[in-house]
Amino acid sequence: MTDKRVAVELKAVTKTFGEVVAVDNVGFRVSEGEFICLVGPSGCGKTTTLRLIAGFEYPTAGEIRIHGKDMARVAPHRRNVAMVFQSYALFPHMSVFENVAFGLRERGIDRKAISRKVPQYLEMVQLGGYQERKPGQLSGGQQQRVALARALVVEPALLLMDEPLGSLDRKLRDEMQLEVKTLLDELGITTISVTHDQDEALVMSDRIAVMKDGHIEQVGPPRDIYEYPESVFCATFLGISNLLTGSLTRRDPGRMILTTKEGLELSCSLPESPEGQITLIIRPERILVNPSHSRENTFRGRIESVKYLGSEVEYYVLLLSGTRVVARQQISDAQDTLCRAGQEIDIQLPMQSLRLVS
Amino acid sequence: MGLSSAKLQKEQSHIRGLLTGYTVLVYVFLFLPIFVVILMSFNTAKIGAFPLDDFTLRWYSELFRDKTVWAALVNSIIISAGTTLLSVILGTLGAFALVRHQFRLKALFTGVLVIPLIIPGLIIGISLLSFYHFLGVHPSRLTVILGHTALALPYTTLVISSRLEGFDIHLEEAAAILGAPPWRVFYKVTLPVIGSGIIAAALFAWTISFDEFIITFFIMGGAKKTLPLKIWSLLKFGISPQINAMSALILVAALVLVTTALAMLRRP
Ligand SMILES: Nc1ncnc2c1ncn2[C@@H]1O[C@H](COP(=O)(O)OP(=O)(O)OP(=O)(O)O)[C@@H](O)[C@H]1O
Ligand SMILES: [Mg+2]
Repeated sequence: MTDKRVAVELKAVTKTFGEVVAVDNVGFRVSEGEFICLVGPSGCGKTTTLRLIAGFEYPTAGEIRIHGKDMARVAPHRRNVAMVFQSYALFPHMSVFENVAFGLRERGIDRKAISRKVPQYLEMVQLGGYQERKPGQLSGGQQQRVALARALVVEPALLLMDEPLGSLDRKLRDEMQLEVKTLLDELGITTISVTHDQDEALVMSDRIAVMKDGHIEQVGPPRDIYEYPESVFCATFLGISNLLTGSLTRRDPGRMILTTKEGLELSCSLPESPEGQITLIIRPERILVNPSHSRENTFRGRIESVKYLGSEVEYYVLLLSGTRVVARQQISDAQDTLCRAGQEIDIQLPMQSLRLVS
Repeated sequence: MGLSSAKLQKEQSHIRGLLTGYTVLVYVFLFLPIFVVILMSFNTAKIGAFPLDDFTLRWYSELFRDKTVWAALVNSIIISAGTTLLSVILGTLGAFALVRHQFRLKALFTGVLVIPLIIPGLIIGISLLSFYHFLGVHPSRLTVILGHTALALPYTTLVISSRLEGFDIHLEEAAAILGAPPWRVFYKVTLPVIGSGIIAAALFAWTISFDEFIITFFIMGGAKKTLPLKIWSLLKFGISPQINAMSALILVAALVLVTTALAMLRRP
């Protein structure tokens, strides 16, 4: 990553609207060709961050650089950035063809090249036969794909996407995720995308930036964020986590014991041994149900409810200590017998799967 | 239950019948006089009275041969065109200010804007007359255009602002980020999208100016008559078939323009 050129850099960017701090001291870099996803709850400042980069808003403080150039005095139309809007923003008075051709025409591309490229990009988003339609005659998903084609066709230095696949149905979204990702990789377009959908973030991104209340909680590759979340917020925002809060009652290196409020004693091995209240997390799929060899951290509990997910099953378990945990198990065979609510089971929280978060 | 609902239905159909009758009456009251004027304009008799004589286009051909009528028409057209141009430009600028920007006294500005709608034309006419007199400006087409613009401006501003309210600002941002400089954004995206609203506003302004009498009467007074002033001066000799013909033509023109304007407003 270090050898790649920096495409975008935000330095301590802050944006306030009156009293509201929409973006709070945000800084990150995006390398050329990289795909970075901004995720976070509604109102955390994702759209505002994109709008700052696009030039629709000016930062209250801080600096935005695209390819090393300070953007403070550069108008949106000179940034060579493309954007896919949350509300599509297709031009209602133009046909699909004209919408997609708009950016090319503004760039002074000749007619021949335009009539070659537009169908090519419409084909790419599977809208081959729709050139003459008006946006009003398309479904939400089709409009979104036109918006995508319109942004991609100009081959921008930087692509911004605000929930680009938000209104597509599950199946189309899964297809589009991979297609868009492949396409962007092929074109080598640097992308900053915003999404609510955690799967989308995990599938598409090279790196994920988790935002909360206008600031960035953590930036890293999807796997790092998922496996080593630094905060309770990140651990619960991307995927489900079991939280175990307590304090260390034994702190030998290599073998420590965390005693939770409910009195659950957990063996763990942490890189440091902090004082006071700490929180460990464990992902539901790392918890073993009825392990064949019960070793450390095995507890008895009663299943309160069962959630069948098709390929997996989730057990909501109340441990004897009074702690509640969720365990998720793969269902690998049709003959597998699933546990039922009310049943007593053993569950194991493997030591190496417990992570310390702040 | 079955009985009472049948009764209810019967009652409802009575009410419906009453409503229909009432509506028909209102329309008859509104449009019968107009219809009569049109009818009389095709009647051979010089005195407008029933029963009708024969069908004729004589009054129309007489009208078209009258040079003073033509002069009035040209005059009206020039004034309406000037009013339309001015009130649409000012109205568009005003609408952008009202919809896109926050400023102090915005509520006051909006309120003041609609005042010409409620002030009697007579008062506006007198005020303008004494104002021009005070300035030492002689009545001319220009002063009439300015007076008509004051009258049409509330309409154009309100019609265009309501269109602009519904305009998705992201469209302009999308155009900008695709590489269009501000004037291209306006020309290629904003104008076409709000264009039908602007055309509707223009048609309203034209109609208002073309049909306006009182203010014109006060300011213009002198030689250069507009069509309504021409009708007024002909009226001194009583209602003639020519007046009916002229009224019918003005009426048809106004109807066509307003209907087109409404159709424009209904467009997405
Ligand atoms: N133009 C504005 N004026 C005032 N406040 C604004 C403006 N734009 C955004 N905000 C506020 O800034 C905060 C961040 O908004 P933003 O649209 O960036 O959130 P978001 O993360 O995109 O949310 P969502 O996921 O719902 O789209 C919100 O509290 C919002 O109310
Ligand atoms: Mg948003």
